[in-house]
Amino acid sequence: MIPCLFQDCLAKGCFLNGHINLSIDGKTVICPPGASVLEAAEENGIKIPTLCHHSGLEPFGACRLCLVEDENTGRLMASCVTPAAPDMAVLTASPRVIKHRRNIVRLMMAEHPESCIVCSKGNRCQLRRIAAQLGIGETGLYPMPNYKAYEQANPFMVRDLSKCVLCGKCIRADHELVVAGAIDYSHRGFESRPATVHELPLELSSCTFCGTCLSMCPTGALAPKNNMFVGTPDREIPTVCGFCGVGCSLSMGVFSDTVVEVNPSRGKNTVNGSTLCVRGHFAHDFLNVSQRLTRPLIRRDGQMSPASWDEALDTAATRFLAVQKESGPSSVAFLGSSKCTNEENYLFQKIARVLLKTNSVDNGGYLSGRSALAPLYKRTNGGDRVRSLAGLEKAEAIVVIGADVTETLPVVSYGLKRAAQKGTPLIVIDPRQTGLSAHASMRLPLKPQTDLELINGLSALLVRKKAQNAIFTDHFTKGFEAFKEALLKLDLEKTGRVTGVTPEALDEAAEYLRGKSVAFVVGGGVLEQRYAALTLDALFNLCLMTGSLGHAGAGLYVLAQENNQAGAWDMGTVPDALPGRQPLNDSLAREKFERAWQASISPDRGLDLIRMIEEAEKGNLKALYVMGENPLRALPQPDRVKRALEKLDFIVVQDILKTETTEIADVVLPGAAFSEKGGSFTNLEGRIQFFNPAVPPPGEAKPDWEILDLLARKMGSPRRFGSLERLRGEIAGLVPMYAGINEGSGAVWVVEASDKELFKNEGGARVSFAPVSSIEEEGQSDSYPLTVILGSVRFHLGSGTRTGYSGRVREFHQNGAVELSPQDWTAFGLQAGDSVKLTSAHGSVVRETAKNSALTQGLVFVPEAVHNNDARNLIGLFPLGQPDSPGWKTCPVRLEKL
Amino acid sequence: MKVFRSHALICGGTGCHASGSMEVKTALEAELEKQGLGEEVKVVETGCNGYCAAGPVMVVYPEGLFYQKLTVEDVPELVSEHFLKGRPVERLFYKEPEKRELIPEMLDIPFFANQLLIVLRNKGLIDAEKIDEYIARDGYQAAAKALLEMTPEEIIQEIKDSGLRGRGGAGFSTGTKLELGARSKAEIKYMLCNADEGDPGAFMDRSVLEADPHAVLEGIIIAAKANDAHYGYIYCRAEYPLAVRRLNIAIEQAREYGLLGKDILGSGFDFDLEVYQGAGAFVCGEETALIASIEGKRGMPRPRPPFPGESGIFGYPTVNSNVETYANIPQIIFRGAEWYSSIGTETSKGTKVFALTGTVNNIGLVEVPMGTPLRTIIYDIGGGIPNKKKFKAVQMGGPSGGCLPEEQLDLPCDYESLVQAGAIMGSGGMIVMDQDTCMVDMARFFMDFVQDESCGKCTPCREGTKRMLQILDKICDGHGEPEDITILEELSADIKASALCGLGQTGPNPILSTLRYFRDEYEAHILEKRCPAKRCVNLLKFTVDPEKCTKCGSCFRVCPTGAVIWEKKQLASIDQEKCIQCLSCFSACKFDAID
Repeated sequence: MIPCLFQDCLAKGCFLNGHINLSIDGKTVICPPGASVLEAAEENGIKIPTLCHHSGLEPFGACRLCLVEDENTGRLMASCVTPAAPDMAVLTASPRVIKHRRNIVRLMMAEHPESCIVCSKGNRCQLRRIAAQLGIGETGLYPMPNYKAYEQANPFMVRDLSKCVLCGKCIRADHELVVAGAIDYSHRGFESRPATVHELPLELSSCTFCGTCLSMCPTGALAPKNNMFVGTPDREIPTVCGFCGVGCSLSMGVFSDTVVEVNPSRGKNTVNGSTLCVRGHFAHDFLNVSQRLTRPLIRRDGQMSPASWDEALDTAATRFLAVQKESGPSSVAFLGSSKCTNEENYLFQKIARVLLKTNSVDNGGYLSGRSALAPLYKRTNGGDRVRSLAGLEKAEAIVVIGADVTETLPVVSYGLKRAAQKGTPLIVIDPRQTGLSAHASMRLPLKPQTDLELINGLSALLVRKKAQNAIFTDHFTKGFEAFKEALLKLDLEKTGRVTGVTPEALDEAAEYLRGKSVAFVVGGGVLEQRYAALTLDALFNLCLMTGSLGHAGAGLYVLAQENNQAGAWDMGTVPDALPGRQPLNDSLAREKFERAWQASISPDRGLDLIRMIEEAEKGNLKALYVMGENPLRALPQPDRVKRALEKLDFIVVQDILKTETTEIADVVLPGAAFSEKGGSFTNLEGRIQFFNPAVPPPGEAKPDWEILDLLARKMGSPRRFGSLERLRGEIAGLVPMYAGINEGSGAVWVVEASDKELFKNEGGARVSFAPVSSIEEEGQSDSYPLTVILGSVRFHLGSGTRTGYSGRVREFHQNGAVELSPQDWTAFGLQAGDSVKLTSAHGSVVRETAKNSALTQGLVFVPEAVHNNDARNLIGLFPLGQPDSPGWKTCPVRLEKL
Repeated sequence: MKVFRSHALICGGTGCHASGSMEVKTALEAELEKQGLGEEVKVVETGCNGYCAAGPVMVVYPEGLFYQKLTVEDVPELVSEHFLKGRPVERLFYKEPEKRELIPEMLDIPFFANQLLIVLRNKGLIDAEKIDEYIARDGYQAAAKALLEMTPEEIIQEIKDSGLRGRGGAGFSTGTKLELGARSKAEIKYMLCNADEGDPGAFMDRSVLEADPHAVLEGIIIAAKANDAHYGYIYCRAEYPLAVRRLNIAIEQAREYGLLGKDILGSGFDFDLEVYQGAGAFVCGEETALIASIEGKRGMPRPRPPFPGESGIFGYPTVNSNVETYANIPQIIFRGAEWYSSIGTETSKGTKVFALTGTVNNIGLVEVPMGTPLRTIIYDIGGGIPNKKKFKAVQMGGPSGGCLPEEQLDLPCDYESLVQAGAIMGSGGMIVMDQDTCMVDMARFFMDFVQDESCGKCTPCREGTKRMLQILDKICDGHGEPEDITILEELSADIKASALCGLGQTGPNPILSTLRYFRDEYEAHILEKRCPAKRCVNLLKFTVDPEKCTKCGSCFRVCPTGAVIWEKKQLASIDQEKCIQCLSCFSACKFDAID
């Protein structure tokens, strides 16, 4: 049997049923029905030039360069839009084809401005490349440059439409991929151009500056705005984005040893395809800023001064061991990083557990609500872990709850918008109108932190409508009858009162979901709120009830804010679990690690991030090792955190940038950014993605795993790992879900190992329903009559430490204005440009104000990350995921006009 | 029903509207009332009569008398003489231009006498806004027959047998198109009527819609039954407000009469449709662009396949035909394929409506059997070229078509012959040009149009037509170079071969046909820097012919730059330094002394 070379066919194990035989340039080729002549040629290694074709976009047929001739009929056709047909005899370079193709390129060249020498596309320009291949130098036509306005007002991209060849890729990327609706064709004939509505500047359009168009532009018409470098990088190196939990595949453009450009990688089957977001595209500026840490520092007489690696590591090791010896394992703690690699986090917690005998290990994932997820993880016994984002586009219905995805995880929002565009019902549950609302079938505008009540109400309504999936509940679950009874007892009128959602709206939502298997996209609005764990339970109940589990496009898509949030947890950088999320109190698991590590491990859980601060405040914690986190900026009540950490005897900070936290460190160890080291990240889908260094670390900085490896040796570890391969070997041996980590390149998936029948091929336990809980209506206090909602803006990630170092992000008008409803705006007598002071029980912020006509009266939106993330002043340093904690998402405030 | 002694049918087409027919109508009604004839004479506003050049026109029945070029001032005399005293007003009759004799009756006028009306059979006879008048002329009989007595297969067979071909330009067999549509078993199918007539100088579809909207609706209903489609769109350009208004009235009335909507005529067949107004892009006449426009997108063509028959409006199978095509269908069903196919030539059956315009005496709408020679249309019906000028060429098929010179005048108008001669049937635009037309300038006009209307999507059309336009500009400005002709020919070949849609692929046709028949004019422009038709002002050098100059000074008085030197009783002369070739003196001279 001849194998079919088509990627899709290979994946499906195709046996050439119904395949088409044709000849291209005399070579007989086989392709599946529906393939275009261009695809058939490309799959068989025959190159046809084209400017408008892109495998990620619908065929378009605009540039006409892919013209080919059918020898049998003499017909000329654009191969990108011509389906391959049996018995075609295609000539891709017949004299006729070449003649017309050359003339089309001559026309384009004669219309092009002569600015190649300063064009940032440089030698990557596809027009130039095709002209070169066709031997077109001088066009022989008089030049007719098509001058158009040059736009560079925004800090991210330059639009020089004089160089535009109207391939339409930017417009199609905007419409088909990122669904932004910022640009379309304007004008006709020679004047045609991609334009915003009324040709407004991009910053006044709905453009999100994701830069997807820019990476696709074949010429220099769209280029990144970069004051540091204009031209062609020496080389392009694939890597994985270090910002959010989506884990986009990137291609880093490197010139000399500097990253000068970032584009989506051209790899196949990546999370992001050809898209990126503004952070991924432009905020990597932080890699090259002068605030990078380039050599180890030690505090001497209160001043930080440079030191050798040997000296710095010696100091760190000796001081830590001394504190631990003197005050016991509970006096030391380790804060690992949801931004560092799996290998690094593994090594990090191993140092803590083996060499310092402490389980006081945590990572930045705490900030994103990990503690609320732990019970759910237990409920599924680790099943339902792997969930491809591509599945969202196959969903029957989607509910987005507490997730402002267009801002937090823009690449996820593209998939949701594409799904909605295709007609998939999309329900947004959010107190605020989000970027997704306009694409949604409906929004349920609930009161903050009442998601639990709403989801239970929705479940109850579906049960009343008899819309549960009985086959599913019978087969895979237990306790459905009790659950149903509890739901039927719910008072839906109360649901309406508590949530503020009308019965009609709830009914409409239930009708959208009736009989469907649903994908729930869950974000920080749920994970960081007061009833996080209960809400997740309720959502999972709803999944079970509707049978929305066990296949692509259904179930809980829990979003991860940080690139390796999942991996850091998996690697055991948490106070209550060993690598592989194996519970600390599971003696079998512990024994396995004790044997492997030749050390005893305490079964008692260590301090989590909040407890670390509390214990430091009390003076019980004496030494802290921070790797790649900036708690002084990221935690609530930063002043309180600072006072607490200043009490410590010894603090080591291993990071890549000067931060609020490095300022109070005793030893600073310069680490390497993800682009400067090898490793792996695990994204929110459960995809473990490997990468190699694109550039060397700056100055004397070292990859973090190397630093830890050296430190471990100084702390008494018998030998160094010395290489990532050996580290991965140990992980693969001890962590079954990471059995694939030895692969070391490309991507592998986390291995699920649940005992639940739902997630196994056969046999196994049933999943049980969680009890139905209800919440009461909350009154508003007189002293704090408004409710603040904290939220992200897409230009920043998390606390904004790294993104805040991007000159382009800073330059882009971001005054971080707090948004008020029109009613409150009027009630407080505000004018444009007015500043206000917001005060909560914990602190205050002063910001400019903006009127948001979509905001409900009484709500105030405060953007995070900007102004050194001072929004954190407002909320209290309460533990997350505890039933009595008020959560970090909202808080009551009062407002004073300044 | 009320009976009137006499009917005055005033043309209410767009052409006569423009020349004031509505004012005449109002005045006529008032005058009839005033003279006490309100109950005896009925004034009817009809659709386009077709003889636009003579507008406002009025036909008075029962006599069938034809009055032309009416003004409000003519009305009192008309009423008191014709309607009151029964004495026709001869001065308002049509006057044969050659023999100067009066022709009182409409059907004796050559313009009308030489036509065969199928599509336009109701023009000027019925009030297009009254469905009863259409029904009285056997309207909706065909629909009743098709819906109640015929199977879809029979309808398709009948249309196939008739030999009807698409009147939008391409000439694809309508029966075959319907057969392909009927083969699709999709749940939703659409009918589409392309009324986005945009060729400069073409107004066939507009007139059909204005004069007989129900004929189009009936055709669509019959075709919908054949195709088993239940919803349709008529895409009509917004620049045709009268057509849109009459269509909407017709649709409303048809719904009231149960001819549209659920269970039409009790046949169990449901069909309804709406008018979608286009915003005036020429390219929206291309079916895929038209469909994109209906979907709310920018009207840009997309590659075919998939053809609209497989994936059309909102992705559903769509049968799309032109206004005139649909208007033929009721007559085919009513009178039979045999009758229809007896008209026309071997391959082109039935009649074709042409919009006759340009430098021809009888500008207007003409319907003739397929295969009628151009000479018959231009000279017998059109009345020849005015002002004793010489015929030079006729542009067929608008910007996508080509021009034909005098030696092709005996060419029969059918699809194949026209293509062979370098023109196309197109939708029926026929622009006659006399000796004063510069063919290079004419090609430039059409290229400018195509470039302006290019959607900008594909490179050859966007860049190539612009380049060709620039070259033509250069030639007309006197900067042409010998190799320009070669470049024009080469670019034409590129664009024809590689453009995405019909607009681009046919865009170079005016250049190719002028190069074919009038290459010498290009060469005169380029090599001798001379415009034989004296149109390209930059190539003109005006001098005064002393033989012809009568020393009248008209030229001197109109010259805006003081280039004409003249004193009383002296010969005029022209200072070439000051002359800006504005043509003022040339036009002002009554003695052809300036050349």
